[in-house]
Order: sequence, then C-alpha cells, then structure tokens
Amino acid sequence: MLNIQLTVNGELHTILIDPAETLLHVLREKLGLTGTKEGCGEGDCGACTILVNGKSVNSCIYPAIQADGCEILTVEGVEKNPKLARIQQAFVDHGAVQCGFCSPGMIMATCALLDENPTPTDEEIRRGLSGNLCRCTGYQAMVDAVKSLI
Amino acid sequence: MKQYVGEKRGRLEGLDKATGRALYAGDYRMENMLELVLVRSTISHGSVRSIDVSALPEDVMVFTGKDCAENIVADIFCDTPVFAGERILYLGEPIAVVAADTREKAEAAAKLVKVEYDLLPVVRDVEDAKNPAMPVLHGESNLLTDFFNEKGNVEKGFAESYLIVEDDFETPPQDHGYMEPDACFAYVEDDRLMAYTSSQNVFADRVMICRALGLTPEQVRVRAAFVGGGFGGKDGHTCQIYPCLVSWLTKRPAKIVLDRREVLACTYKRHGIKMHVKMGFSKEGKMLAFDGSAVLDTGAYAGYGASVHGLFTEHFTGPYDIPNVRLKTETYYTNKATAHAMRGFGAPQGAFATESIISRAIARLGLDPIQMRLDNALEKGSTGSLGQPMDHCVGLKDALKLVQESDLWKERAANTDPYVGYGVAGGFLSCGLGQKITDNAKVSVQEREDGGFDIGVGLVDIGQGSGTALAAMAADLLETDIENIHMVMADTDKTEDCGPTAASRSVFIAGNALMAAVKQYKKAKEAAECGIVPAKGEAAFPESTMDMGRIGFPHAMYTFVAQAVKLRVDPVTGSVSLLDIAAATECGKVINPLGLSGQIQGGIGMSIGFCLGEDCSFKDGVLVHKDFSTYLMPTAMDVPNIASYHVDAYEVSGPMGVKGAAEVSTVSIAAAINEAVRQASGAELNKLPLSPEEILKALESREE
Amino acid sequence: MSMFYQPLTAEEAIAYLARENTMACAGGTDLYVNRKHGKFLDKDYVSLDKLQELKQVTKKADGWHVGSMVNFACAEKLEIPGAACLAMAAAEVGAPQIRNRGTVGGNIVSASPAADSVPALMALDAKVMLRSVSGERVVPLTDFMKGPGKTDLKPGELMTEIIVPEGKGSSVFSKAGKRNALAIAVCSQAVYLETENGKITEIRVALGSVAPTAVRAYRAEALLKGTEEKALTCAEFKAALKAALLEDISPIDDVRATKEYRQTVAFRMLMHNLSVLWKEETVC
Repeated sequence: MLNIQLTVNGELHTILIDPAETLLHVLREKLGLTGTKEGCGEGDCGACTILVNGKSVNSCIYPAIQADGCEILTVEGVEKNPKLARIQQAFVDHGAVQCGFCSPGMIMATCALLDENPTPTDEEIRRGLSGNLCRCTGYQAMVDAVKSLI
Repeated sequence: MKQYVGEKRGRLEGLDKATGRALYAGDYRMENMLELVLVRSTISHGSVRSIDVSALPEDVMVFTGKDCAENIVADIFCDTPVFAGERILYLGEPIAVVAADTREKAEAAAKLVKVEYDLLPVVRDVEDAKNPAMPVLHGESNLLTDFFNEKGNVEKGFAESYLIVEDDFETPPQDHGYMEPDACFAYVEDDRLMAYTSSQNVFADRVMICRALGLTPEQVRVRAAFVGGGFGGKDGHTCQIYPCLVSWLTKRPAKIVLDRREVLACTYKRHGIKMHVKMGFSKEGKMLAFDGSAVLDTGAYAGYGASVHGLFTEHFTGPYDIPNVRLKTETYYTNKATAHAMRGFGAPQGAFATESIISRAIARLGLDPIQMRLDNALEKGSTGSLGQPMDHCVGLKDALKLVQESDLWKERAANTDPYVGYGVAGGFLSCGLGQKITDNAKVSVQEREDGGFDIGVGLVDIGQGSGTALAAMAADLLETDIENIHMVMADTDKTEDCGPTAASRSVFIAGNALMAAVKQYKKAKEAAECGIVPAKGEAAFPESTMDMGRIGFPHAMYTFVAQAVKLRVDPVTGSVSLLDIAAATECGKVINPLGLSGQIQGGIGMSIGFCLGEDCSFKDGVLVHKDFSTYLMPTAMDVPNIASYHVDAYEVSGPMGVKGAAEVSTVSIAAAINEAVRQASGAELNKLPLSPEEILKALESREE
Repeated sequence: MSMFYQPLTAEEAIAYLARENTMACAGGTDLYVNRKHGKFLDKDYVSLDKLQELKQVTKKADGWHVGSMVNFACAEKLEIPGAACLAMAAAEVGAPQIRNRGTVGGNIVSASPAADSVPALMALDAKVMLRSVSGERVVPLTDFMKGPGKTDLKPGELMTEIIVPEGKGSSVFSKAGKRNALAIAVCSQAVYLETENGKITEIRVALGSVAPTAVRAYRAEALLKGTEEKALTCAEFKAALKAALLEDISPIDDVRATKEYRQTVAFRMLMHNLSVLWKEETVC
C-alpha cells in the first residue's frame, strides 16, 4: 500500500492505494465518486473518461500512482468548473442524455475537446468524441449539443 | 395554458444523469456489503459432475442451486435454472455465485472453484439442431416453434410475374450493447428484501425473485435503479436473483455487476437468422408474390424466442401490399447464449433480406426506388402478409414522400462519384405484445399537498424517455406546469404492474391508462372526494381482429419508416463510409420531437453496427468477438449526420394520437446501406455484417 | 503484490529496471488491459510517467530525437521534415483518451503486429536508443522488432529515444481498420518517397498487421527504385510489384480479416500511397 495525493474537483485528498490500483477504482471505491462509470474496463468505451491535468483519459486503465500530484476533474466537479455546467445543460437540452450511462464520460470528453479547440467543426467534434461509445443517441444529439456551445 | 405535448423537451431526469448524481444499480453501496462474482461453465454442453470449493478462503461464501427455494427462473417458459448443474446448455452458464467483501476478492475466489464436467456433443447451429444424431436440448426435439401460412396463390403469383428475384441471406446474432453492464443491488430491511435492478420490468423481477427464494410478493420490494439502456436485453433474468438470494440468506447487502466480457459472452442476443426470399414482380414493379422461409437460432433457452419468431414472420414481407404470400419459419435451440428480445424483435433481419431483393428488382426493372415502394406500400384498409387488416393509421407513403423530398435524396441525381451510392428502404414494426398476451397497464394520479401530482407508472424508463413523454401528457391533461408533475415509476410498492418496457408499448399503454386515471381524478375532484386515495386508470392494448390461433401475433397496429443513406466505398480498402442519412417516421402523434429523433437516430446507430461491424457469431459454441476491441459498435466517426423527419399523423386508439416508436428505427437502414453499397461497388451482398473483402472483390472485378 | 516505483529521472528508472522481475509502465494503455486478463500480475512496475526528459523532441545531427514517452497527442502534431507519416499514424491511434496516454515508446515495446506507429517509424529508417546500467546502444527499429509481443529489449534496458532521420522526400501513412476510431489495424502502411527528375531515388515501404511484426517491403522497394511514374500504369510492372510485395509480407487469417484481404489491401494501398506521394513530390 502507498499514499498518493490527488486534487479531485478542487479538493486535495491523500489516499492509501494498492500499488497497481486504477484511478477509476480510487474514484469510485475510495472517494465514492460514482458519477464516473465503468463500461468495459479495457479502455474501449470511454464511460470512465475524466480529466487529468486537463487531458481526457480512460480512468479504467490509468495507474492511480501516475496521477499522484495531479489535478483531476470528474463529472461531479461542476462547482469548480462552470463550463462543465454549461456542457451538462446543453447535453440535456439537445437530447444528448438518454440512458445517461455514457453521459459523464461523454461530457468530460466534450470538456477536453472544447478546451483544446473552442470552435470545432462537425468532423472535429466527432473525432473528439470518438473515444466514447453511446448506444442510445446515434451521436447526432451530442454533435448538436456541442455545436450549441460554440 | 401552455401545451407540452408536441414540444421539444430534454429529459426530466437529464441533469441527474449529466452531473453523475443518478445512481445506477452498480453505484449503490452499503456498510458490510458483499460483492458477487459468478462461477460460469467452461463448457457449452454437458453436466456438472462435481464442484470443489475447498480451495476458497474462509471469508468467502459460495452459493449454488441448492440454496434456492426453487432453482428456476420464473419467466414465460420456466425452462432456465438460476444455477445450472444437471444440464449445462451454453458456455458461461452460471453454476455458482461467490460472495466476498470486495469484488477483487470475489473474482480471485471464483477462479479457485474447481468444477468437473461430463461432456455432451455441442449443438453448434441449426443444422446440428435438426440432425437426429445430435442431442436434444429441451423436450422432444430441438425445434422450439414453427409456422406455415399461405395467403392467396403464390405459385400463380410467380407464374404471372415478369421478374423473379431470389436469394439466400444470413444475419449473425447481435449484442444489445447497452453501455451499463447488467447489475443488481439488494439488501434486507425490516425483514423485507429490497432490490434495485437494472431491468425492463420490476414486476417480472419480483415474480422471479419470489419463486427462486420462496418469498411472497409482500416480502419483496423491487425498484428500478437508473437503467443504462436495455434494448430488450434486460427484459428477462440477467443477474437479479443472485444478490437477492445472497442478501436474503446472509442478511447483508449484496451487489453484482457483470464484467463487459460476461455481458458479451453470456447474456441475451438478437437472433441469428438464415433466410431465403423469392419475390415476383410485374414489369411496372408491382409485387405479385412473396415466398419466404427462414430458420432462427434461439440458443440455449426459449427466452422470448417464440415471440421473436412470430414477429419475424409477421414482418418478413416488409410493409407492402402483396396479394400472394407464403411464409415458412422454424426456430431451433442450440448450445449458445440465449437469443431473446432485441429492439426490432426479428424485423431488421427480415427487412435486410426482403428490401435487398426489392432494391435489386428495382435496379433490374429500371424503376425509381421510392416510387416503386410507394406503388406497393400498405395503406389504411390494406391487408398485411398474414391477411391481417390494417385498420389503424398507416403512414408509410407519407414517410416515403418525406424522404423523397429530403436534401439527401434530391442531390442524388447530381452525384458523379462512382464510389458513392444511395439506398433507401421501407420498414414497419408492430406495437403491443400481440394476440392473446395480457397487455394492460394501471396508472395512478395523486394530488400532492404542494399542489403537484404524483403519477404512478409501473413501467421502467430504461433510457428511452417514456417518463418525460408521460409527464408532458399528464401536464396537459391536468392543465398544470410540467414542474408540478412528479413521475413515480417502476417501484413494486408504489406503482402497479404495467407489464414490460417492450414492444414499443410504454407511452401508448401507459398514456391510455393515464388518460383514464385523469378522467377518474377529475370526476372525483368534482365530487370533492379527491386527495385521500389516488385516482386510478386502466388500459388494455387493442388486439388484431384477426385470430390465427397463435400467441403473440398478428398485431392491431404498426409504426412505419422510410430510411435513406448516402455512402462512399473506399476503393483502396472496400470499407464503407456513411456520408448522410435521412429517416422519416410515422408513429402517430409525436409527443416529444426531441425524444422521437433520439429514438430514431439511436436505433439507426445500432443498426449501422448490425450492418457494418457487429458480429456476435459463435464458433463451436464459443463467442468469436469477446470484447469491445473486436465486437465493434459504431463510434461518433462511424455514424453520419442523421436527419429525422416526422410524419404528422394521428392514431385514434392511442392516447392523444400516439403509436409506439422506440424500435422501428432499427428496421431499415441495413438494407438501405446494402443497396447503396451495390450501386457504389457492384457487390450483391447477402450476409451481415457487410464484408469489405467482398466489396473489394466486386470493385476489382469491375476494374477488370 | 506488485511494487510500483515512480522515479523522476531516467537514471533512477534504469536503476529500478536493473532489479529482478521489473517492467516499465509508460501510459498503461496496454499494460492495464493485459493486467485485467491476468498478465504481468507478478511483475514490479517502473512508471516512466514522471520522466520529463523522455517527453522531449529535439533536433540533433543524426536526426530528430523523439523521447520514448512522447504521447500520440503530441506525436500527431509533430512536424518533422519528411516524416508526415509519423504524425498521420499517431492521429490514427485509438481515440483522444488513448492518444493522451499511449506513447510512441510504449507502442514499440508492446510489439503488437498492428501497432500504428511502428510501420511509420520503419519507413523513416528510425533507430531506437536503449539504456541500461551497463551502457547504451542504438538499434535500427527493423532489427528491434522480433515478433508479436517480442522485441530485442534486454532485461534492465529502458528505451529512451527514437531517432528519426530528417528526409528531403515525403511520406504518407494509411490504415485499414474496421471502424473509423478505436480500431485495430487490419492492414497499415507507411511509404517514404524521394524522386529526382521523375525517377524514384529513394523508397521505403513498411507495413503493419501483415506479418508477425511490422515489416519493410524490401523486394517491392527494390523494384520501385529507379522507376518512373508511368511504369506504375504498366500491367506487367504492376503484376511484378504485387508479386514482390506479397513475398515481403506473410499475413494470416484472424478474427479481424483474412489473409487474402490483407494481401489485396496491402497492394492497393501501395498503389494509392505512391500516387499520393508522387503528386506531392511533383508539387514540391
């Protein structure tokens, strides 16, 4: 077991982890942040997407130890990030939230996309969201939601 | 007064989901909770000789069928055990469940359970199933059900035909691909078992749990957690009984969450079907005769296999008025994961075959693809392929015309790229559970002290948006703001049995019951009796006036679609890039246009996967594509822009004019893509998913 | 249970890697999938994530030194002259989340026959620099790749840099996958081309997913060297080129595609890539 320090949604935590524990496991099981979902556990679906130092990553295959000292933003971090709230509302308003299971990851991917490229084209939006599978929407509503934020 | 019906609206619960506050079954956790992992069979067919748990650590518990009051999953056919033992019928069938403090510990322990088997030959496919030398999985033979019917005189129809086109087609099983892996959480409170399930019917869950555990309905409360998609795959037993059993026996909270690989390998699938279609056409393109035969592979247990068989058969011809129709269909058991309900319920498979044949006939006859379909389209007063009357609102022609007027279709004439193709297909899907199946709902309306209303509906909103649609209807009916409507759904203590979230029935059946309940409420209000007891309303789904003596079909009404695609085949690799899709839907009155578009676009996305990437084939009983890196569902880069057009229509039997809409979206796009690929490459493909290799071969032969 | 060391310098990392039973962990995108399926659970890991010195790209006399911990999100933006194929290959890796974590060095050392960056680097004649407590060595990438999951990496060695020579020609990368993102290559190909007076003076073709490792197509290259563009339209030359290319590769049937499909695509890709590059060369 070893200690790591994470700043999660603006709050500093010192957490005792198993050496090879995943960041997803730390968030869900140690910090109780269940907004971040596990859809496949192999980095193939994006449901567990969070931001580490502003970059989108699959937390299910992210060694927690490598996040030591990093800033982490999850879908629960609205208070710390008003932009996230705008994205969440746009997703709801455009019908991009159906069953909702992919929504946290998809919203975090959108957050990273718009940080890097505030005015993406349709093609860039689709590429930006291509690491997140959704089975409900056919992605159209998500593209519409992101476009509404440009 | 503001009208909510007809207005675009995001989900009422949308922000709970978008902020991560919404709890799915796997998100629940309590002190002292046990986490469960299933021990699954490593063989496809045989029996368990022995189970040895001696290597397990002391703080881990194991449960098997012996721990059940009755080792049976109570469903339509009570043929499935909670835990297999005497007979194992598919690879990955649950044999035991391991419970430990953490999932990691349970996973490690499950690997230490030693199971010895006696093997039987594996019934790999329907050919094996028909072979008298192979073992029989259930009853007297491996045939689950069959059907034969002839309407008119098919041979005469072919004799009068100018063109006859026929071919064999094959579609593989498909996985539902819901993003939330199956899960369930249970605990005991005041001597009652409490369960949060991820399923499509909490009342059916309660029946299963009670039977397996030997409890009365009063002892069990089932609530739907937020459900991360179902698409038919959660309309049955996926894992609900296991945490309930463990929790009831240990009095500790218990949770199970399946791993994605378990979901892919072991849970329900769309039926793989082999089909032969022969159609006769007049020179002008009138459909004169249809002769279709098919064998469906239903896997290890009956599930909804017989119902899917019925709907496949009923929809095989497509939504066309064909005077002479012969249908011969059979469904067999095999040693594979059970095929079951999946969005479209048999219709997408048949549509792939039939609409491909129709498109090829259109090409040979030099006709316009939309006009030819308009000339044959069902309309109000027509009879369907079984002779069933089309007495309801039938808007296929309107849907086809909307596609005809779409930008996608209009720009078709100007295309000069030889690798670009355009395809269109029609489709339809029944609403309601069908002939002779109880199809009722009971909805309650209760005025609250704050002036709002609690609307009690026993159905589960699995993500499709029935709750939001029903809230809009309730607000209009009660003439109040939608903020005053509080949906109480899918709770066996607080709502009444409304049947499954299935068969595109939720908004129709619950909407009618809601209207009856509001009427009751208003009556009581006038009599100044309200406030004490909730007003209740009931509804039953209309049945077809035609009775063929079969359970589950035909149906009293259908929803119609026309879907067109523009695509390009890559001359280097033969792979297909979809460029644009236009989809028109007639589903009666549209309650929430945003919700309907979402259903249509989502269903199309799912069938793009069915057409171009997803292959749940089993080889010798073993799933070939075991994970999300090989079982390829479409990403945002694989699905193009999808324009969703809605026919303005009204179904008199539906609440406020509604018909069902959730499933029909999946029916047509695969056939439309297949036709566009044929145009762009010359490849006439009969098997899904479409093979870039075959497309490339066609391109190479065209180059020569 | 595994130990997980997280050094801050390459020096320290090499010291850890000198211990028994250790392996490096770059971005974890491959290792953690393997761990989920029970592989490498008994190893101790040395995280390379905090080694800033391995995340640099610098130009030196012998070419561009790309740190092994440069991730694909950075690699897709690289503008090394003549090395467009590397950026293109990086852009084809997985999806944004994977590109933010997956590294060029990790991609090479994992040694998947379908690795996107390896054919691109092979076509660029890249070399890898390996360091251990006992010294350092530089190995051509083509010699480094040994088989599926196998490389010439010796116990205790750390891949620190990939050396990409600067070229005056142009290069391109193509990938056939089964979907447009998060796809594993069914056949991939990188081509580097230099021409002079309408003739090919230098050509390097490398392919992925058509052999146990990414491979150079030396026979096809030999045929192409010295030819003019119009030779490519000659049926006889094309037939000889295809025969040569098919000798260079040894694809198999697997869950993603058949051997025949891979062969067909490999050749069509070569013709396509040559025409794309020829156009670029003429414009320049």
